[in-house]
Amino acid sequence: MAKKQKSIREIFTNGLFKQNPTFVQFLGMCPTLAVTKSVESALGMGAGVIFVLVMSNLAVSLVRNYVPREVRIPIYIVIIASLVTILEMLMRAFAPDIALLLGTFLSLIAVNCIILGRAEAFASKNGPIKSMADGLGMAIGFTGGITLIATFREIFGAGTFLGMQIIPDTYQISILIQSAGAFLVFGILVSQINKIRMNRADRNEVA
Amino acid sequence: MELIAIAFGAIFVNNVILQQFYGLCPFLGVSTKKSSALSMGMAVTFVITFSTIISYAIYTYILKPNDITYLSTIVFILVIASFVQLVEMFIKRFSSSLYSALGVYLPLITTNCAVLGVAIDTTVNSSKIFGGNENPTLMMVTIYALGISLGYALVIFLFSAIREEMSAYPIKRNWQGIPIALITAFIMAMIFIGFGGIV
Repeated sequence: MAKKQKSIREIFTNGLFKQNPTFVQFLGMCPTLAVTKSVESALGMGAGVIFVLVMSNLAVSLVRNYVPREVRIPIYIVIIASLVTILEMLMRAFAPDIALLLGTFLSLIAVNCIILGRAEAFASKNGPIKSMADGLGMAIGFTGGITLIATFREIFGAGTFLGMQIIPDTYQISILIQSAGAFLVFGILVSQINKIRMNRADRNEVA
Repeated sequence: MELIAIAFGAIFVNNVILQQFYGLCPFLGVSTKKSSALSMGMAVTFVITFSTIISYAIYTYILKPNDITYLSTIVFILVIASFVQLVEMFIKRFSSSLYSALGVYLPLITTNCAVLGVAIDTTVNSSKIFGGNENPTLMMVTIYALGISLGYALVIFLFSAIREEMSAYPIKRNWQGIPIALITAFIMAMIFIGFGGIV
């Protein structure tokens, strides 16, 4: 029993750091750059992805033994698109501001490669509980990644954090909250995270 | 005149990659060689233009009159996936040279969010791109989709040419690959901001 629990925790943390979808696997790049203008929209997007990824991993792992191999991808796509439609309706009803902020990218969760990728790589081969742990880990890893980017962009670009003023107007770098700034912030963050990972790998080799 | 403005805006000002962030995975993945970037650009142009026309027709004549527009996402995904499958079968049967050039890229396009993004933008969110016009004509939608996809092909081709040149230079280990590509995209995006003043 103890062994099984440990493996679930491993599956869960795998998505948080080792296989982080944003900084290690580079999956779901479009929302990564598009919704990181403010921390609020990044968190909204993260909540949407957590919902869809956990539910789709659960659904896919429940039907995995009944789906013929040849048509599995279209079936997964239909499952994911239906979940996204449910999410759209829920968000418009209960969080209309965030739905407006995310715009088309709310619907585009349906073609986010993280979700189809996890369905194909993990949920189609594992049981429902492990699949949900994997989905939750990956989705939280994604949320953490985009929130980190959004924090940098919002603080230095707009001088605010979740709407609170931190840096006065004169010292803002407004290019960072324009579209172009997303590439800059993301590029710098990836290079620094690469540096940390490479240093750690070098140290392990020596030891 | 209005159509020219739509086309210019779609290609340069609201460039699909640099301004709207649609279709970044293939943009960073495929753009290491000029030839593959060109093939990808052609395949995307073809698929975006026709799937947008089909989605527009379905939205205007089926979903909207019956008041079931909440089904758009799922319907559009199915339309795009089956259209891509159809195109793949068609060119495999009739032109093997075209198939060897585009074949590998076609399955990738189903999950390219530019295709679904443009389909949704021209129908459900049309007031955003056509300046408050909620009932764009077929002509406007076609020109917009064509402009968006030409903008995609243009940027992915330019970007691959830059990356090909760049591969000859020494780059620090932690900047290699994706990070330096993102910084290149940043500089290109700043250049494209300049087009905003024209329209």
